[in-house]
Amino acid sequence: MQDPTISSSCSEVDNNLRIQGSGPDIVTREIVRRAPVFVLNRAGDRKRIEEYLCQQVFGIPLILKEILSYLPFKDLLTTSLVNKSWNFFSREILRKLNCVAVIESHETSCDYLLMLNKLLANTENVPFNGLCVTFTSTNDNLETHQCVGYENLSDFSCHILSKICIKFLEVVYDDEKTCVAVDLIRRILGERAESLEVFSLEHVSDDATSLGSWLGIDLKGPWLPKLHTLLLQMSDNLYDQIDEFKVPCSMVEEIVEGAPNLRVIRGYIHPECLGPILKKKLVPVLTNFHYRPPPELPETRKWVREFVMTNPKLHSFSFSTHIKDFDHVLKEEFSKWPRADQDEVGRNLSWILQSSKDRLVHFDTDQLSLILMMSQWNIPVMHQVRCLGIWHSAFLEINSNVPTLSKLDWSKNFPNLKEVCIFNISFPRDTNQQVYLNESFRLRDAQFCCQTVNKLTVKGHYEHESNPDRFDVRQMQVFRDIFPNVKKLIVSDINQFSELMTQMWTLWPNLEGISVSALMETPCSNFDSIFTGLTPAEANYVYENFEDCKSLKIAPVQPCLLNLPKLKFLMFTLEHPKPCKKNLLSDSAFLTRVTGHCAFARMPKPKLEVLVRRRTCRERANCNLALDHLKAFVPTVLLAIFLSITSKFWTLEQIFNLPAIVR
Amino acid sequence: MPVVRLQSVDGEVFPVDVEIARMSFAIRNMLDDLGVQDNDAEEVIPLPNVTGPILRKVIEWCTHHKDDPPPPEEDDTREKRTDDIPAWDQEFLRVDQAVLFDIILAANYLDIKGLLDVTCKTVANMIKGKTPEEIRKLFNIKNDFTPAEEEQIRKENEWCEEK
Repeated sequence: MQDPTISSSCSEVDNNLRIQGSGPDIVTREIVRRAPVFVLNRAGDRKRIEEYLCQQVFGIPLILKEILSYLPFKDLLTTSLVNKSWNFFSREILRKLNCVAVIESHETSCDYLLMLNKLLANTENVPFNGLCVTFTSTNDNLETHQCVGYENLSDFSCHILSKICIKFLEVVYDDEKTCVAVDLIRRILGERAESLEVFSLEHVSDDATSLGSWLGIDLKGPWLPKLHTLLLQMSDNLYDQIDEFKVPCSMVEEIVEGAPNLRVIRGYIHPECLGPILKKKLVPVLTNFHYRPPPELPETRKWVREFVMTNPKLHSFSFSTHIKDFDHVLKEEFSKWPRADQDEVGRNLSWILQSSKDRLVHFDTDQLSLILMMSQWNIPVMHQVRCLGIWHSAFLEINSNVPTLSKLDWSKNFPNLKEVCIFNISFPRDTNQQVYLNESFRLRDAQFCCQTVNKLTVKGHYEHESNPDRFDVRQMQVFRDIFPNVKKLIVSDINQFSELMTQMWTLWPNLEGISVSALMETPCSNFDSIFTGLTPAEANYVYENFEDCKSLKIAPVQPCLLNLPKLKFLMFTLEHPKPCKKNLLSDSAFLTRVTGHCAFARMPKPKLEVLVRRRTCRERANCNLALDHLKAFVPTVLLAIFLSITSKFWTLEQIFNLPAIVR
Repeated sequence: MPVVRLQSVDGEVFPVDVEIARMSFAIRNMLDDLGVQDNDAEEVIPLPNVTGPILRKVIEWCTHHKDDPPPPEEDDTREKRTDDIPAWDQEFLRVDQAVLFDIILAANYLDIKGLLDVTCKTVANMIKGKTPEEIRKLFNIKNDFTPAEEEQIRKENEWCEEK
């Protein structure tokens, strides 16, 4: 509120209410009912006024809280550091946003717990309202877990449990071994279950069939009275959704039965878990469903029929007539089913899509099921679907010479599709394709394309040996014909880096962003020729006579980076399994200054940004993926380390949102 | 149209449609408490915490938004966005920081939720993406942390993840 003795704006603002500074504008006014306003006509008055008003505004808790409440998570971490008052309210808001302390629990799990517990000893205003306890028996380096011996759990958790009001708990635990992390989960679920509002269960120990028996605690009655949200197997990476269900249905039942106020269930629910959902009439809160027909018990089939009849309104739906066998092979049994049972699956699918068509934005399926439903079953137009994930066999599409995707009328069923994610898998060779690719489909001459898709993700399958089933660079030509308007392209987990890049320049001329993650089988190969369009001999000559050639405008003789004039962002995530040879030249073998000069520097403005994440050799300076010398030609940022090529791969949006300091 | 006369701290009097004046819950309560009828045009409502130029701005905003639907009730689960400030409001709030803050204080004092929301969003946009030091400099805020306290918060932040 206004201080009666000072005013920023009664006199020193013009008609547009902009402060003009001190001087002739300043007049004294007589104030009715209140004390007179100070005459502010000295240098520094403006600063004083601003300081005063800032103190006033930020001194009112309601206003400061209201301002901070509009800030996203990352900014709230920053505003916590402004001063004590901002810290207090920023932390308060963070606690409402499900700000979770993540305890990574692999080979160093116990240390992490100790560290967090020790850290919390010195604070009263914690930002957390929950915990994520993640235990994996091995990490990327295949180091096994070494749980330290301990006598008293309190040494690890006293401050964690006393200072964090745990409303959010996430459990990711994939080993049968016991560890202090499990004791912490046990203690939270045993003593704090009543305060839990959100419970996220992603993985549990393989041998655990129920939470109660796994944790050795009694979970009878409404043991989660405040729980409103259950999160199951959430993944940004659609590829994981085909994976076997990591949470037994019996656990889902325990939670659903014990949570009378459950309002949201997110994550993929499988048909096997429908029983308790139907019993508790929770279908309206279900937003994700994975319809995986075989193998089905009679009871499960009954549940599916009942589920279908309740008109589910799904946001995200996954359908596959296959189940994952092992090592990314899809096993098929559906074709062995009696025709009547197959038809029933088709009817169920049509009903689910019909009732969800106004909400469904995300749809995943396998290639053969997609063909089956789009060519033989009567499915509705899905206007809202923006993203389609396809578990796809490069072998089927390329090597068996059976074009399939181009025969699908995309605009008929997915008129507003924006994004397609291709996940390469294998179908067993003995798959009975006749059910899916019947005679009339095979004889189709029609060639369809999907004009609306502007983002394409193609995920291979990282292997040391190339497997044409998992990624075949020729499939990119097929995708180009079907999705001609792609502007953002992500290709990940592939071995054929050079083959891909050679094709890349001519596939989609309007590409704006490319992200490629690859295993560099031959790390010392040089890619100057591929990027610049010069012959290898020319590129080598320019390299050896760089100073002399700098002034020359050398024309490419083959397609190269310059064929993509709209490209604004290029990212590589590179790993090489073998260490580089010693005594490399100062320029790296991967890309030298030749690429910088003849390709990067010649891209139209605004400048192309290049981000390289790489796993370096131990001798980083000698690593042939080191690209510091390219900084003179392009805003290049090198991140020396990344976790694993098979770990989470970044989307272009995530990359563009990287903080400037990282990018 | 019945009017009410609002008087600023510096004595300026603004005749305002009652309907517009009642967008302020503080004025609405005053009118109700005083039993002021719609035809009591001579009644002057003193607003001792708002200066004339700021009151003029507030009245301008209320006049422009008089036909807006009432703002939604507070809801913690509602997504808080700052990219939805209408173009007119953006232009209206293109003022010096001191004036913006004066409007916030007036909106708070007069209890005009819509104006308080949009001004707070504007300040939030000023904060986004800035470092703590930049925020302190922008708003002349003193850092009252000890180095140890600051380090503690930084360490806590390293553990934070949004779910």
